[in-house]
Amino acid sequence: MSPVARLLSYVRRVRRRYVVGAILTALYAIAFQLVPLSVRNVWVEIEAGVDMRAIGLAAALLVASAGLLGILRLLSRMSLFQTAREIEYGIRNDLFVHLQRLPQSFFGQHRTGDLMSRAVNDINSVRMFLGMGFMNVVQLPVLYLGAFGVMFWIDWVLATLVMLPYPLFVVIARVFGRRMHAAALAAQEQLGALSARVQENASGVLVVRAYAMEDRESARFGRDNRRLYHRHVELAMIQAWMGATIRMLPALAMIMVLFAGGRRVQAGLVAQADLWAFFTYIFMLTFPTFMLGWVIALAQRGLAGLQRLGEVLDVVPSIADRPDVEPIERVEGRVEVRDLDFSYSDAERRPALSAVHLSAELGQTIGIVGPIGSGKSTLVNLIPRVLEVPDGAIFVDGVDVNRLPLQALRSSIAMVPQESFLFSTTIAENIRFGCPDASLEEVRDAARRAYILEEIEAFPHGFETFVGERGITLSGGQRQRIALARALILDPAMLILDDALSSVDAQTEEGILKSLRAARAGRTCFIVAHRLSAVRDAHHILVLDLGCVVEEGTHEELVRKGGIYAGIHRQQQLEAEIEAGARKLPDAAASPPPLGAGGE
Amino acid sequence: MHPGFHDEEVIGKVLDRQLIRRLWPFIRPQRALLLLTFLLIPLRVLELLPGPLVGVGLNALAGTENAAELGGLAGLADVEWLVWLVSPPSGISLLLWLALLLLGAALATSALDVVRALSMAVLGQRSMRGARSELFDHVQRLPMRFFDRYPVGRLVTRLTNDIETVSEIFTAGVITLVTDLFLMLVLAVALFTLHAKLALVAMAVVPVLMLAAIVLRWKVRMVFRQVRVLIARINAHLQETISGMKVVQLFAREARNLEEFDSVNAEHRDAWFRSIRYDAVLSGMLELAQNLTTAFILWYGASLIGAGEVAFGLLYVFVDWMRRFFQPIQELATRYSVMQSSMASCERIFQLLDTPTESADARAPEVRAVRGAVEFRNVSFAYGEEPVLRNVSFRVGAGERVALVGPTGSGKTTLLKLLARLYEGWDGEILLDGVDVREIPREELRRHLAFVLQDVYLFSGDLRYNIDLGRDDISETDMRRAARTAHVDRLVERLPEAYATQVRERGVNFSAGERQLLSFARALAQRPDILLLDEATANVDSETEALVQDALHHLMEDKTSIVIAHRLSTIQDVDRIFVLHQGELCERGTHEELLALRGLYWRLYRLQYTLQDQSAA
Repeated sequence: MSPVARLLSYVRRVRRRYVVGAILTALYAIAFQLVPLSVRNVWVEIEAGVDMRAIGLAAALLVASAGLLGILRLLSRMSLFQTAREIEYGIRNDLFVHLQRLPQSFFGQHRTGDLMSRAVNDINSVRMFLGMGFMNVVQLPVLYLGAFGVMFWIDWVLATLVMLPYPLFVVIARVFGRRMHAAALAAQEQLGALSARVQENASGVLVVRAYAMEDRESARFGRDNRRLYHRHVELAMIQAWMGATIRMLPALAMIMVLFAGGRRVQAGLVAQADLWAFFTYIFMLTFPTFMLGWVIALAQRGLAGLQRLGEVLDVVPSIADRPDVEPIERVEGRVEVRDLDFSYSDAERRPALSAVHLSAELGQTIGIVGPIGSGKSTLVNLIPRVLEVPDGAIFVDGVDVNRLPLQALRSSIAMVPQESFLFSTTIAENIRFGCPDASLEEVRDAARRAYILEEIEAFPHGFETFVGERGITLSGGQRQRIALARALILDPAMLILDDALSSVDAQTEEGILKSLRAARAGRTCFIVAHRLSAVRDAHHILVLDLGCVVEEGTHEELVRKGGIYAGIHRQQQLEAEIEAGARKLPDAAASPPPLGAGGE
Repeated sequence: MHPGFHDEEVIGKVLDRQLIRRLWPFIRPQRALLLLTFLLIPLRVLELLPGPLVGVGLNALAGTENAAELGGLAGLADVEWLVWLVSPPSGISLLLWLALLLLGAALATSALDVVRALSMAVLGQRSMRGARSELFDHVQRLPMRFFDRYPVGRLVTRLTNDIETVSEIFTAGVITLVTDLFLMLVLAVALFTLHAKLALVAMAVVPVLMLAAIVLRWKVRMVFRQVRVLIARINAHLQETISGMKVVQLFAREARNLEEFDSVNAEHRDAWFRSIRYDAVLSGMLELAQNLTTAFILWYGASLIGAGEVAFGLLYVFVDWMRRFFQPIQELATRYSVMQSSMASCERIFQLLDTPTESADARAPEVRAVRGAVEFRNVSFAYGEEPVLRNVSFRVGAGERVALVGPTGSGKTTLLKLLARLYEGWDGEILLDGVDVREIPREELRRHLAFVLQDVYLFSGDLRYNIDLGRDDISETDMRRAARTAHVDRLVERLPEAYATQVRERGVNFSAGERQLLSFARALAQRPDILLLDEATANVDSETEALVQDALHHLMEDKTSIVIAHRLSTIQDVDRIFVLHQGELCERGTHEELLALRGLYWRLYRLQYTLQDQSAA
């Protein structure tokens, strides 16, 4: 959608209020003409000889128009500015709704700070244009037309002379408008570059320090900083020159009135009172003329803001309900994966998954293991469609997941993602994230099943303890268990644990697994795990390597097979012994493989 | 999500003297510009000139041609310079002369405008450029521990948005406020001097308007407080939702989230509605006051003209100047809020600047040759409460290659970080060639080391920068040689722009193996005396694996190497092995010796290599 079309679509939503605002503004601009006319009347009376009664009457008319103008100005500003805020509110909500529909891949490409800046700063610049900008767009033409109309009526020759400087405005707008747009955008972009520099420096701080790069980084930052300074000054320069040029317009008109008007008065062609009216007009048009320059700036910034908003709002959510969606409200949980190939669009050359197949019957538990980067996490993230699923590859209850309503699919799945993200709110709010109406009893029960209850209750504020920077710093294991409780409080058809117990110690894991056994009953369950203890009683285990299923079967079958799985199994038995501090030598594999034998 | 917790809620004072004093060092270098800006303020009286010029013109048209008489009738007689100014040189009519004067005044005003706007912009931007650099340098000297807690996003905000906000003090804050007040004062004095009684009438509504402005501004201020809190909440809500979007979507929480966001968003809108109402009332009153004043001036002025006390022109001067007098009143509320938010940003910036940096180096860095002998003597260390290293002692001879081995969390990486002084505050001694590393300036120490981290961090910029890290003492030839040794040249050949290829954010356009090779090239290019290597464990294909191993072999040549080893080939390459367990050094010796010991190393060895062994078998 073009920026202008988008603008209009928002204006249309509140068009009645906008029209009222526009009418009030136009009325104000029309009533504005009363002032110079009243002034002229007073002056006519003064010229006619000082009759205080007549002058009083004329002045009273001015007072009356002052009252009317005051009220119209109050109403027009209130209605237009409030409508602009209403639109701001609408756009921000729309953006929020839209962001919530966008897939993970989008958030991988856009920095959070940048998106926030769009939702606050860019919307703000659009709002400024819709309020102050629009008011002037309505007001100025009426103001000028009315003023010049009256001036023409009074004396068309002088009016023509007075008008002469104003068409210059078009030239000014053309000359400066484009440059200002370019300069504003350049400054905005340089600021973006600078933020990226800071962000990178802070994220890579370990390398910066280890290689003593501080001075060089400061120099790089200094260059960006200087560039930003120049962009800002450039923008200020354009603005200053434009302001100064526009300032000349009313001054030139004033000179015309004084010189040409004065001569016409001397020639007896124009009355003194009329000259007064002209002066009053020019004077009253002075500030609105200054506004013109500002309107250009507002429009440029507003359009730039709309363009940046469009960059987000125009992204079609790649994961959304399709026209051929099956009207299903809840899924049961049979999952089938057929010949699934998947690649992340840009990063990797090798596909993340190739020809993966699996089938999970209702209530079955599927274990997924394999080395880092083998595609385990990708596979389970495809089921709730957090990633873009190719057609004809994943079926839930026999229906292609792409044809299931997202809401139904996702609310049937409780997932504990690999990175246990918690929100900066209370622990209780975090646990009831997926069902906001859960009672404290239910929250406690979920915490108990996730083996975190005692630790939470030991915090000074218990379940009301805040998580995050301003609150308590939780250990990785605690975070994982709260994330687990957040999933367990739901009553889903499917449960997915994506390496969700990696930071939990073996003993706690044992307990959690025991409590999970009850939770798993009747549910389809996917467990991605590092430790085999988490999957050993699964109905079926997949072993992935470099995106392919290299082994599958039950724990016993796989151990017997003596392949990769069996290898990991043996490794972890040893690990367990070391963790337990066992000094006893393991029975199996009495001698280590000789050096180099494992290499090639 | 919860509406309670964000630091944006700190509401600054309008003018905090302490903050201004701290800001001064940044403005000080620009004090000539500051002086210029303040000196330009009085010149703005030029803007007031058109009023009297037109006034005199109107007088003239009323029939007086003599300039001196003009003044008398206008009540401008006392203003000698004005009488002098409007006396046209011979041969020029008064009207033309006045027109020329008007033109001159307009041009001068415009020119001054440009100078003023530019000097303010340059003053503000230069001061803030200085502040930004200082802040960045400060961040460069903050201890690593700081980064463990301070979120990157917040750091970015401090260096960008907050600084931008502070710069508004210059462009839209103090100076404009001072100028406005100055002009209002000058106008009031001038009007009273011209005709006290008429001035009194003209100013009749001013006290009422001022009172209204103060009351309304107070109310607007209260609303502004709310608005700031609400916008911070909107920001917090957005940030939480965007960072946790995956969880939001997985838990199908979108509708509820929107409800929450909508309520804050609507509250924000409603606060603005209130603010707009007050603002509109003030604006309407101002309109009313301006026109009322015009009516008063004309009505009372007419009677003065009738009494022959003043001339027409004076009335014009009054009308013109009174309108100018009212202009700044509307802006006062805006200036006020600008100052307020600037001060709040200032405060947050200084908070960051107050965070203590690392201890100063004992002396200036020098170029000294080292042999590369490293010794840890009874070193104990903790990041927090829990000790990570306990009483570790070992010695690595110059040119020796050693491996550190141990389970996750045994303190291997910490040892390397301490040697590079990335973290400080250990007990015991770490010596380089017998000198305590704390005695060696950090920069000098780190120039002797090359630290290859497990997670390869690539900077945006070109490949060249990522290899030479911006050191200009590394020649193109040296950089290319390092790249060749690390087998990066094969990768580079495939890229059309070779070493000028831009690395995208966090290096996503390179695979794990390629990134490792790049990090080796980087280390080689620095020509270190000591290599500190935390080997990556990521799986790479067998072809790349062979390249990695070969590059690694070259990397360790001719220098002291301390390697956290995960690969068989690396273990084979080293002279000695140190085994760490729970922060203690428990075994040491050659590979064969340690295997024969049948202790922790033997078990770890089998643990780490069964899988490798298995897949190769």
